[in-house]
Amino acid sequence: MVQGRLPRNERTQLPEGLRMVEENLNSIKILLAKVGLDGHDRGIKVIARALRDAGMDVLYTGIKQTAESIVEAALEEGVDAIGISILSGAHMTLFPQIMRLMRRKGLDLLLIGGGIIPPQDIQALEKSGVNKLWGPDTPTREIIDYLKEKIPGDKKTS
Amino acid sequence: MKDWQTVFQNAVLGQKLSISRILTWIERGRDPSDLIQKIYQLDPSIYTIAITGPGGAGKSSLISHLAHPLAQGHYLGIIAMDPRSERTGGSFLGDRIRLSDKVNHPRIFYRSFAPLGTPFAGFLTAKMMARALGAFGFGCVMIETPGAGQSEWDMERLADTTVLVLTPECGDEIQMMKRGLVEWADIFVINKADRPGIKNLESALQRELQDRPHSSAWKPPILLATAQNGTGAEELLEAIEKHHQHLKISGALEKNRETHKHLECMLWALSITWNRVNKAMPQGPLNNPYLEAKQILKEILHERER
Repeated sequence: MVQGRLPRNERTQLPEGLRMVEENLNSIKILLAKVGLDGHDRGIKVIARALRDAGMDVLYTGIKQTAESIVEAALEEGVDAIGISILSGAHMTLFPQIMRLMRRKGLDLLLIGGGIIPPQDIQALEKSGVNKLWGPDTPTREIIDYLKEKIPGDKKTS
Repeated sequence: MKDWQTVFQNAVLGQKLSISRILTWIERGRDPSDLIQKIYQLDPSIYTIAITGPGGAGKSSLISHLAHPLAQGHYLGIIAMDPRSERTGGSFLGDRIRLSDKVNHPRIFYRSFAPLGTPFAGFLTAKMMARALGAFGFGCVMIETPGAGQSEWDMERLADTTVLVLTPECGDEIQMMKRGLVEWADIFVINKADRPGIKNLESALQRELQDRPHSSAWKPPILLATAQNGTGAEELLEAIEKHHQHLKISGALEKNRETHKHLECMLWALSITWNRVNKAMPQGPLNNPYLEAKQILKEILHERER
């Protein structure tokens, strides 16, 4: 069960006072972070805006984030997904670190990312538990569709 | 998934993941006849500070300097609300990034949210999250709100102490802008006090304050700050503490909290009605909206209580 998300059959139990019109219920909440010592975050900001325009709650935690700060923030904010932008090449250490921390803290949510990641590394990381990684210049539509497909009622198996 | 009672118990015992889950259920919805009623039954007490003001005034910056001192000796919650876009249904939760290092603290729990639901959802969600934190042993919560203060259910009305953060540029607009807040904020902070226009704003505020009933024993201070480098944070902390003492000694703390509960009750009723009316709203053109409204109310009042 993805933390924080209510599967469709629980929707009718939403508190009367807080419920919105049906389509906008359960807006997806996602934490975006940029890891690495460089400060180039224009790309992730473009994605942040696109996700917001697609109806999501977007929490951008900034540049130069560490695995620890990202996972701690995800824990406090009750997000449905963590999206990492990484251009620096440290993805083979970073993603396993994040997954370790997530397990240790009991977090069960979608872990996705993108940036400068070679295809063979994408394969390896997805095999080891990262939900989805994309190469550079992926159209934001693809990310949005993926999240909308995976999150309502999604059962993460890792 | 564990049942909510177990999660709640674990949250009371201080387990962070469980605290997070309860807040998420409040933020995104859970049956009020269970979780929310449980919270009301416990009737937890938590000192609530609202930090409000126009966008760009420096609320997040100020909060970043108040966080560690306020977390001395007890657990501090910080709730930051951002508006939800009506057009897209999405939101940009941009307050946390301004504090990142400062909230990395074992006794601080920071949650951002955008209200989901009726116009009253922001108030009710923030208030219930604050109460929940109180149930989990938190001693204080700061709520950052995009200031408006013009309707009765604006978020500032839910706090024990309301701090209004302005900048010198607000001087000319003070008569027109955010009348509600100026009329009853407890502490004023003029941030970015290194900019011109302070005297103008100070006099405008003094004039507004003179209009307040003289019977009130609390004289709202007007503080200067440059939040960027932390100047003024200490004075603000002192003022908050002074106001807190005043509330306790004068009995206003309990009195105001009773008023909050009345407001909450009204908002729950309105919220539930809002949703039911929404559901019962006919599609297509209306001939007589007023008669239609009365018809809808008749229908929903005859619904069996769920």
